[in-house]
Amino acid sequence: MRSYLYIISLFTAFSLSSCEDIIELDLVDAAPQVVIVADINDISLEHEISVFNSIPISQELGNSAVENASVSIVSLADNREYIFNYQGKGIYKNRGFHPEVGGKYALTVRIADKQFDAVSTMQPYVEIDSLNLKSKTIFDEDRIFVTFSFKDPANELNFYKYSLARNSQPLKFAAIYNDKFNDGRNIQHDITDADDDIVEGDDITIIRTSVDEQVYNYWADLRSLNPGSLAPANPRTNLSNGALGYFSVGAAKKYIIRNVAINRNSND
Amino acid sequence: MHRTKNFLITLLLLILIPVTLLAQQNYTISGYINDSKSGETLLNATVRILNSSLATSTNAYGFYSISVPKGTHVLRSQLVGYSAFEQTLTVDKNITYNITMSTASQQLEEVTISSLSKSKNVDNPQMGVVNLNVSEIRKLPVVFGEKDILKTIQLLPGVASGGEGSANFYVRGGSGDQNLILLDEAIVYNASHLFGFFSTFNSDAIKDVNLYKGGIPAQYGGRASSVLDIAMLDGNAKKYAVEGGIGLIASRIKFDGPIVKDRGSFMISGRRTYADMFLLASKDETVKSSKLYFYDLNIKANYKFDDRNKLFLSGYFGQDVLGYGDLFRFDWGNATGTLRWNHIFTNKLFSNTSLIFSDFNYHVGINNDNSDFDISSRIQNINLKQDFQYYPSNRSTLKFGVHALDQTIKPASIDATDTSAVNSILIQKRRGLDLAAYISHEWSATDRLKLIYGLRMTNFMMLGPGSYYDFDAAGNPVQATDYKKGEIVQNYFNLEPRFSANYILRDNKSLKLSYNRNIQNLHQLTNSTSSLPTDQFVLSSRTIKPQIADQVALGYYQNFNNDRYEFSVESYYKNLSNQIDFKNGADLQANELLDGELVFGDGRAYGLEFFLKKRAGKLTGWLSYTLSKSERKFEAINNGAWFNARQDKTHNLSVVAMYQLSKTWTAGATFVYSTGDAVTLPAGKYAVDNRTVYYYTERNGSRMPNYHRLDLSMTYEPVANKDKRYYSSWSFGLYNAYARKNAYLIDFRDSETNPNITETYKVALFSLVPSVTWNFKF
Repeated sequence: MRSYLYIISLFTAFSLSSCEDIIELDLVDAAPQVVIVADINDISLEHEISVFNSIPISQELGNSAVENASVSIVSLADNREYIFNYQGKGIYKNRGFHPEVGGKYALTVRIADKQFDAVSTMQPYVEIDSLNLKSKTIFDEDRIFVTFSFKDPANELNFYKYSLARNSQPLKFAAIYNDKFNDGRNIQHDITDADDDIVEGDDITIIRTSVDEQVYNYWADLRSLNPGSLAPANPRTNLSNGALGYFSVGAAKKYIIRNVAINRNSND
Repeated sequence: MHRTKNFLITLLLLILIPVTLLAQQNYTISGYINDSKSGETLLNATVRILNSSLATSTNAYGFYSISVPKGTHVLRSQLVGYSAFEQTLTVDKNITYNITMSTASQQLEEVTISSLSKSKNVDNPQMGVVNLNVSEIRKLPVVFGEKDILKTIQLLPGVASGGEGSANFYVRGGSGDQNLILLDEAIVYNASHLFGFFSTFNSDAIKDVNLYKGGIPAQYGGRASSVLDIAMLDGNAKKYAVEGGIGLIASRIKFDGPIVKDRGSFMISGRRTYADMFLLASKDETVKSSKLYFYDLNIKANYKFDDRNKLFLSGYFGQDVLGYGDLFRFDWGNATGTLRWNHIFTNKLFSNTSLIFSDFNYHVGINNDNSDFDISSRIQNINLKQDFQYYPSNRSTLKFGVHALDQTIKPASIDATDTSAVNSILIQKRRGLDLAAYISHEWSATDRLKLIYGLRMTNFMMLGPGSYYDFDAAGNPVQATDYKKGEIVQNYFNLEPRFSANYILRDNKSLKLSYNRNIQNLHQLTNSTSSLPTDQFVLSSRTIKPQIADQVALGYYQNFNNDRYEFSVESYYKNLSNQIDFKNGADLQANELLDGELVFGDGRAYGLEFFLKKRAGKLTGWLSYTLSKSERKFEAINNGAWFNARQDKTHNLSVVAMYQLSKTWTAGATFVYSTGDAVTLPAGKYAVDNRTVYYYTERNGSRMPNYHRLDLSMTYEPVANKDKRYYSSWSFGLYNAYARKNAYLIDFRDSETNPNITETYKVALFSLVPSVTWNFKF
């Protein structure tokens, strides 16, 4: 019996840790596809649309700008056309386009003999009641969140998109929500940077946009991709003709929190 | 109703015609076969009349019936692991003769060859079936030292594993939801614990397992690809016994004994894991107070009123509990109950009546900041079965019966408090009634040619109340119709022909051919690689048509070296229609319009299976190799072109060996090798909002790395001391002995050194996992 006890103690010291390793896998490269990212909001009168090509998976991400596209947005209410001019690095710019809530806008991108279209409707901005910082403990780790509290308009579909920038870093997509489960309720959205934790002392910029359903679908599809998905697929897009990316015209507000400190509130 | 009536008349005719044709004058010997020590009924034991071709075997309740001419005969019965039983009987009338058989001595040495029953591999007209005896597999190495039926069947040809350590399995290219899993006839909706790492079947409580991969007999229906029929032990009818085991991850205990000696017995078997003990090591208070365990309980009792009437009551109850502090609670479990009455009308007519209940439910509770809500879902059925077995002559066995299955699904609904940040959502219940009737005739047409042919008729009705939608081609709802309670929303009538033929070429060689059509009216919507209890079940509806599988199989069987070796090669082709997948971005949660999120298509699977088994000697085990293909086709997916099913594994090899080292020690080893799963990997990439987004082209056009693994075990079973009631044994295991890091999943990320480069990484779940289990008995 004594020897058995010894064996038990030996085996209880077993390891059950999972591990990660970089591997080489033969990936099939796809020919470059046109990508259009047209995320327009009403924060400023200056707007950018990016037109570029996707990169085969085994190659390095780099300059793949499409330089000779003709890019324009037409307001379907009054048929006014806003031309976007090429600025370099695949970016097309317009100054003076002022989108209005409820307005329907059509994007047209022409590259050689190919045309890509999309339509987006500008949703009204859902105002927030308060903005707070909080720290939550998740699996032994303290993480800082920016909490947006607001009342969701009842009996209508609402979609919320958040982009976040830490300090001088560029804005990155942070979160996308719908109100399927909480239509008309007092809602709190806790926003953080999933890859790069917010720390005390940071300056945080968040753009909160009310988007339409198709833009929600694009981001929600991307967000739901995980290695446990049975079969990952490309996100649904409102762009025609097989273009990747999306076209969004949304009402947005920018929130800046300087010198993040827990238990202190600030607003823009 | 008109249809139902016609259907019953057709059935009656079908039953009566062969019976009148086959009725003959002969005497019948019939009875039960039991284990001499425990009184357990013995299934699949062969009974033959020496110096004749007359033979039969016991049914699922241990009953046999054999017709013989008047005279003196030697009756011989055999079963793996038991000493052969022989008795001379003088037959001048119908006689009831119950047989008890004793287990063969533990050492499977050369002398016990005489007790080795003749393998049914060659003789049995049934093909595509594997029978596993729990005692046969108890020395196999398994992960965490937990014997598991569902993991053992993955080592058989035609069965693919659902992933590392997973209890999920795929049969002959079929989907995970196409396996009918029965525990004492009750449908088990979710056969796994802890997200698939353990099956719900506690080996201590199991007597016998049959897996049908093809040529599925007519008495089974409801799933497209396979039937896994598991029978629980009845309990020791002679004396009280306690046995159990303590392992690293779980402990088990079983108590059984007679209710009234030789008349009735009971069995209670329980198991609980204690994985959450490891959580106590955490510094985090919330993690410490978290829960992660499962338990299950098998209960059975039977009582024999007389030689003709026997009553069985069996039940299963299992629950998984997972909780993160008070913030999150997730529990799920199955419950089944079966009440059976075996009645012997005459020596030739055996009847079983079953009333079965089965339930699977899950429950999620969230209590987080301002969100406070519960999600719950349930699927339930009540099943009434009347089955007959009629033995008109020694050349014929007729099986026929009627089944009624009433299933109700309560899809996940949300129940929130008024102050919660979420709304309550109630999704309508769905109810379906499956009526089935079947008849099957097993017939030895000549000494060389044996046939099983049969027909199953199923009438599925989706019943109200509720609102039901019709959808346009794009999946948008166009019209809702309200139905009253009990009103038929949709009716599907299907015929399922079943056919198997066996032609015995010469002694110990045979050729078999089979065809079966199977209909499936319950569908499980899975969109993750691991089996989640939250997978939504749906019934056939106005939009969802019954899944249909047609399978043809051809096989060659040979036994050699005195039945010590069993060899078979089977090839199959399976055609699947009305298969289900999802639209891109399908919303499957709490969605009243769920049917509109689905797409429908076809499937095909084909393969070649080799199986070589050594049944006796110091070294026993088997070698199994499958070469196969499984594909799907949906108009909306992959541009309408055929693509590999996720579980498509070109090569699948298993080697299982057990070696008797001494009277007390047995070594075991299993080696598995399989082609990696077919997966969809990115073919391109682009950056949006400063995040890398991947571009996908062909569905399941790439492969995970190939999978291989070696497991080892050692079992110490001391020679029993007859003076002592108490007995204990040990088993030691080494899972993944050469610590192969098999990819559980692969993912992509920006390289840390150069974010413009994509790197592929794999996550391996288990490295080498040692285990030890101590088993006791008294």
